[in-house]
Amino acid sequence: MQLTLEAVTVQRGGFSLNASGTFGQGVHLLTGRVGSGKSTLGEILGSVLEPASGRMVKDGLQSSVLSMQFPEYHITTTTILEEILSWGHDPDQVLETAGLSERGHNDLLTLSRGELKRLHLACLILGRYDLMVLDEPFAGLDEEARYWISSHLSGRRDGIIIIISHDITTLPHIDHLWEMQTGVLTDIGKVPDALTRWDTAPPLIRYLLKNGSNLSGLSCQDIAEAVCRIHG
Amino acid sequence: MPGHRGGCMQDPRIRLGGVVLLSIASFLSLTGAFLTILWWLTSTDRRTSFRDLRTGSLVFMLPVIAAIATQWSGGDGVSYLIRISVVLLIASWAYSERYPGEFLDVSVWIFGKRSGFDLGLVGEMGISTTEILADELRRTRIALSQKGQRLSGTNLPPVIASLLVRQLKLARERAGVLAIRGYTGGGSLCPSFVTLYSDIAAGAFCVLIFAVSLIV
Repeated sequence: MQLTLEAVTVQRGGFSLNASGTFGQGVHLLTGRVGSGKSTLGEILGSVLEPASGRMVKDGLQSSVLSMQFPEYHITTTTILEEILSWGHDPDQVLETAGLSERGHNDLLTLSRGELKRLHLACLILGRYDLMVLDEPFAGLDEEARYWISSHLSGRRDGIIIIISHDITTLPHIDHLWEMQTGVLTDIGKVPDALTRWDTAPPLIRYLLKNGSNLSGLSCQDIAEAVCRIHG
Repeated sequence: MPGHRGGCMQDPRIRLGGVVLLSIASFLSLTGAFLTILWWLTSTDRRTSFRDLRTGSLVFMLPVIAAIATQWSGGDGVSYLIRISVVLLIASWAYSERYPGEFLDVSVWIFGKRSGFDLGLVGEMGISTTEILADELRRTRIALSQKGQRLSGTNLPPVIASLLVRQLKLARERAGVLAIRGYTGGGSLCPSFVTLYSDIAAGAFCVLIFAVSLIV
């Protein structure tokens, strides 16, 4: 099961995107600055945007889903119950997973953005997808909800999960690291070996690597353990 | 002196004036419409005139329907279709050439810092809302495709309600930003424009077409 981008390009006004690489089974982190083209690449990976040139080859992928950054974009019904049913899920299971039990008949517009995001993510993680592309899955969530979604994603053993995020504080276990730099996709490599090659790593990662804390991954547990090693 | 702003015609005052004159000329007579096409061929970068062919096709459907109805009822539907198509072509070109803030610049230049600023602000917010709505509609289609659905009579009401609520929230946020910045009406803006010789020539051609369409 893998997804390969072969010299994929997109042109939007003065912006151009170029991407090549193979996404194998596991959890991938696609990071990069705001405006670098992460979401555009996410739309290509999620098969909702056709590249101007190049091609995307799906090997063994039967189903895929793209989660857009803002959960409001995904609303196509009126109530919470209807929204869950529109994804084809069991309402009780989703409501319990999202921590919204007893609120099934509430209007979706009465939910806060965080609650709406939890509901949307619960619908996704309870689905069976070979490929999940999650654009900023942690945005709008509180600390508890971030750990909740991270633990669910870490628990998935099959398929390809591509997390598009520049928030590295509450990540699940990451297998592979990618970066977008002004429209160009760079394959940094497998984690943890890739960490030392990550030139534009966030300050916390750079600090941990510099202080020899033996950072073994990018999950919140890995980072917490590395921080503990610094303080002895 | 502001720099080059990407479009073919740099001065938005000439562009706006030209659009008004060419639209009237095209609508008045077939001669005006054909001269306007000649103007479009010689004075614009034709490749930038169409941003979204799908949306353009949908917009074009309305005059086609009206033309068929006109022809069917004994009128000259073909002439109507040609003239209104040219008006839409020029409008599409002007829209694709615009840069953010130009409506505010032109409005302040014409009407001054009080009413001109207010009018320009409303215009800019209206245009940006239209662009946001187009983007939101695109995302709604993506959302439906993720669920294996298409836009239908069943999901149209909640989709529209959701879009409306998001637009209202955006309007409230914008109102908050304006209030925080102390906006009560009017504002300080010193618009500056880049005017190329080619802009002046194209503008003069517009005036000529307008005059000919009035005479013929």
